[in-house]
Amino acid sequence: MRQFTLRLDRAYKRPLIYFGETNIKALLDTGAFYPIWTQPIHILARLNAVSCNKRISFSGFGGKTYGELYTLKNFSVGSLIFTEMDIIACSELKNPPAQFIFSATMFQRLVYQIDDKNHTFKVNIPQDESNIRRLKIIEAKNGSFDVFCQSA
Amino acid sequence: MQKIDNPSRMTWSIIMDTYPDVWVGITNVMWEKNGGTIESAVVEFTDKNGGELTEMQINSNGSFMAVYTTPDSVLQLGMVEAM
Repeated sequence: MRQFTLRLDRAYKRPLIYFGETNIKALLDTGAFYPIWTQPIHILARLNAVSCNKRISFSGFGGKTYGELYTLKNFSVGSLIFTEMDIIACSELKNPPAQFIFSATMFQRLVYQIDDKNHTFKVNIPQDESNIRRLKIIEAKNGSFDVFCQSA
Repeated sequence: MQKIDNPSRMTWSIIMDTYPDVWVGITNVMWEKNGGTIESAVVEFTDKNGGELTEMQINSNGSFMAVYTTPDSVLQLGMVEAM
């Protein structure tokens, strides 16, 4: 089983990590279904994102809001490489704490541990899974959206 | 846009106390030994929004960082789900 560890920012009570070459911040939200980009949409283009030309409504404790569906290409988090990762861009969230919100669905079928005692986020990749992954947000016939994340 | 005149190095806890609930643009970041927590930095900007600062961060390839100072106090999340 392969493993990688990212460090949590111990200054905060919620699990926040810095990742990538530019040290962008992400909130690990294990209650989230969709990954979210919280900043203006045009910045996503700098991160190899392309528009899917779809608008999605979603909800949380903050109520209902809307976002635009984008696909990030070759997006890396630790040892994971998402050749494609669909993400909702929503810059209407009030005072988001980080540029990204990472959802539970990004880590489907992986073994992960948020260790708030030692401020680590450990991810184990089982033998039958790859670190190369693909996350798609798919529209169903009834108009709702589902998330599928699998080894590529 | 306010750029801090003669910015000086501050610990992250002092930055949070001095500039609560805002995005700050910081440089010369020193990390704690654990590598995931900012020990100190130089605050360059305090009144640009997160988008402006994030764009500057990406353009700088990491030498400049955009960070929200006190994210524990805002935005209850969880259960971001389909409608």
